Formats: sequence, C-alpha cells, structure tokens
Amino acid sequence: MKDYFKYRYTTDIEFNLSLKTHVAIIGNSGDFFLDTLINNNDKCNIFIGDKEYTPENKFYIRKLMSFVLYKHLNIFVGETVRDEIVFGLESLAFTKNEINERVNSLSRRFKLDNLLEKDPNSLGSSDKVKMKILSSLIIKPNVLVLDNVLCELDYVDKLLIFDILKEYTDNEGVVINITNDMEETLEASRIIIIHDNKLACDGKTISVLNEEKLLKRLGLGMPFIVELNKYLMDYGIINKYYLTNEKLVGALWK
Amino acid sequence: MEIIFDKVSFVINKNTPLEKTILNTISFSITESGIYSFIGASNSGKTAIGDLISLLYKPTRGSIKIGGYKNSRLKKKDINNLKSKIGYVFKNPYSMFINDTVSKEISYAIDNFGYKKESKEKRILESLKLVELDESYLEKNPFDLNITDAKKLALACILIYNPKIIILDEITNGLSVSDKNKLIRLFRMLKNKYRKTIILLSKDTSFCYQITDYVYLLSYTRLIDYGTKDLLENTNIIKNANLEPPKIVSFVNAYNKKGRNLDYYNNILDLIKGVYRDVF
Repeated sequence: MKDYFKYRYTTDIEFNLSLKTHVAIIGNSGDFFLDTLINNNDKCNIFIGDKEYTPENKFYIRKLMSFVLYKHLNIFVGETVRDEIVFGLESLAFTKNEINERVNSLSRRFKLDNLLEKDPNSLGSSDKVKMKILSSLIIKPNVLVLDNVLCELDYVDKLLIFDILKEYTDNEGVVINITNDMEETLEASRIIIIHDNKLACDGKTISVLNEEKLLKRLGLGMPFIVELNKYLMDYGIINKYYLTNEKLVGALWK
Repeated sequence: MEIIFDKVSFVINKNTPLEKTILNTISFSITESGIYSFIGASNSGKTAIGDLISLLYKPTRGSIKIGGYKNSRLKKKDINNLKSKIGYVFKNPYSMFINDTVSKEISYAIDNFGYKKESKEKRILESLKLVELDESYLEKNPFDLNITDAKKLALACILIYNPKIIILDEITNGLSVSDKNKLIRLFRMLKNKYRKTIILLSKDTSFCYQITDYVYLLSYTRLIDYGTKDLLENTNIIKNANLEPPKIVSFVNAYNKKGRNLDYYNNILDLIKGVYRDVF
C-alpha cells in the first residue's frame, strides 16, 4: 500500500506509514518524537499525503492530524462536555445540523451520551480520556496521535477504545500511539522503538517483541503473555507464540 | 502511624447544581506499617481518600484519625506537624511542580520543613538515586520532563523529607515494565527496612498483586470489599468493579480450567517454574 505518513529526522530516524496502520512508538524518546510532530523542526521532514509539514501549511496539516496528550488531559476549552467535543467542528465552521448529527452518533459510540451536559472537571479520569479522544476523532482526521493516555482508561473502556481505534484504522486512518505500557503494543500492527533520539528497531509487532535482548537492554520489558511464551519456548514446552491465555493453555494441555 | 476512617462521607460542591458524592460512609483502619492498595475504577473515590489522608480536604461527615490526631480537632500547628509526616504523589505529576528547576523542586520540602541546610546536597542526591535519576537532571525544568521522569521526580520530592506515610496515586500509569519492577524493589525496601506505610491508589491490579499486603476494593464511592491480596484472585468481584484481573491470576484460572491445580504465584519467574513442574 502507498505510504501516507512519512517521517524523517536527519539520518537518525526514518520511517513511513501507510493508511490503515496502528503503530506503537516505544522507547525513551517518545517525548522528543511528539515534540517534532507538534512544533515541527528544521531538521525534521514530515509528509502527510503529498504535503510537507512546513510553517506555511501548518493549519492545513493540523486538520489532518489530531493529538490527545497526557499533559492536556486536565485542560478544557468548554463549560460542558458537549462544548468540549464540538470545539473542533465549530472552529472549522460546520453547520449546526452536521455538528448535532456527529455529536449524537459518536457520543453514543463512546458511551458518553449521558454525560454531555456535565462539567468536564467533574468527570473521572477514564471519561476524560474518552472525551478527549472523541473530540479529536470528531473532525475525522487522517492521523491520530495518542501520548500515554490509554493507561488512564478503565478495563471496559479500554476494550471499547481499542475497538473504536480498530474501526478507525480500518476506515483509512493512522493511529500513532506513543506509550510506555507494553501491553498496549499487542493491539498495534507495528512497533517502532526510538531510543536516545535514534531509531532502534522497526517492524511488525511480534517480530519486534521477539527481540528479547534489545527490549531488555533498553529497559522496556515485554507484555506478560509474550514473556510467558518466551520462557515456555526456552524450556522447549511450546514452539510458537500463542497470544491469549486460552490458546496457550490449549497448546500446553492438548 | 495509624490511619482510621470512621463512617467518612465526602461531598463536593455541596448545595450547588454541581453537588457530587465522592465517598459514601467509608470505614477502615490501618494500624501497622505495610503496603495497602485501594483499587477501583475511575470515579470510585480513590483520589479522595488520598486527599483526605493528606489533609487537603475535610470530610463532610464522619471522622478521620491520623497518628493520634483527630480530624475534627486539628489545629494549624498539628496540621503542619502532620504534613511533614505524609507524602502524597498526585496522579498528574506536573500539577505538583511549582519551581523552574529540578534542584529547586526537590529541595522545596526540606527548605520549608526546617531540615538542616548542611545535609541538603547529600539528601538531594540520595533521593534522586532512590528513583534512578542522575545529577544531569538537576538543572532541567520539571515541566519539560517526560511522563516517566516526571513521575520519578514527584516520588523523589516526597522521599527527600522521609515521611512515614507515602500515598501514591496511579503511580504506575505511564511507566514501563522495568520501571515498575524497580518501584517494586523500592517499595519493598521502604516497607521492610524503614517501616513505612505505603498507600497505593491504583487500578493496575497486576502491579498491586505483586507487592500489596492488604487490598481495599472501591466501587462507585463505596468500599465494597477488603482483605488480604487473595481478594484479587476472585476475578468475578474484580470484573464487577470494572477492573482487569491481574494477568497472572487470569492465566492461572485459564490453566486450572483444564483440571489442573496450579498455585497463584507472585511473579512470572515463579509461575514459569510452577508450569514447568506441572507439565513434566
């Protein structure tokens, strides 16, 4: 598939992402990567579609790329959840009918429809994250950047959001999830490790998680189920990865 | 230091349209040092418990007794005395910071709690070492740190004045597996060597399962269950409270469905040994 998102920082970091990709960015330089995405940088070339991210077309690029940041979780622009959600659409001068239609359908999908008239400050952390993701997705961006926010979600909400993100990527979207929680990487189709402002590893999820020595050296660890598989493979009990408890137990006790 | 909650209720914005009950007749008592986990989904009232123990708010009803002081009879002098014995790391570490460099931030408590100036440098370096940060951070701006380092710095800021009670709100969010393992070692040392009372407010049941001595389960403003960490092995209760059961417990439950009898282990290495012995 044709590459949609291209990122290049001097000769140290270079990768391309096609549409319908969910990528997890891990490593200690997630913050640096995010900073270059938000503010751009002289040494950095970012292409979205055919357009390059330059100071001149910043506003055009911002329409294509939405951010949900940990640092901004407690910063609100509206008095109610509805105000918060429609802010992006109102800024882009959508009609009232269209705004209502999108808010109603998406708030039901995010299970926020009974909180629309509440004060955002009174929400729990999980609802705040859902609200922020909803207000980013409502303008239908092509690239969604998440910075360490999914760890705040409750169990059921986490399953719901991963479901929504999957739907979004299947619908020609790109999700870039900057995270430290290795369990979240299992939901991604690709993992990129950026360590000390350099690209350390890039590949499909399971092939990167297979690099045990690298992950340990960089202090990242592995998801529980992968680590368990790894040890069992070392003991010669199983010979390939089983990524759910049921499949793994099924392989152990045939 | 003992912490006793007696029928505590906490309501915010009382008598306004924004009135909201945060805690509903909660009673518990913590009398010994150890690691205590308050687990619950968001909106369950975890953060309010931290706020009340650290004397940021007064309860609407009920009484709180901390280290011999009763909340209703506290004087300003008592509050100052108690605050130096309680360390509270907020959920969002950036909302804790008030200075423009890490060195000012970290020494803020010892400057204000009347500690000796001579030992300041030593204390700063020691507390940074405990959370695995180095001297190169001292001149950085705390607001520029990434989430992992900010969490570590927030922890260092309270460890520096050696409080007896340490309250940690969602400390594991945004930390990698190896950082969590380092925290486990640090908390075990604080508990065993220095007899601290550590209160974890968290929804990360996998982390709590590895270290906690006692668990309090909160759901929708109420304390629904408490007990030793065996409580976390009851997946129905945990799932009903909108929490994810610990990973090890989920695996062992799936394993035992095959008619086996595998024990619940604390960490993955012991679990592997158990599986290996069982399979061969």
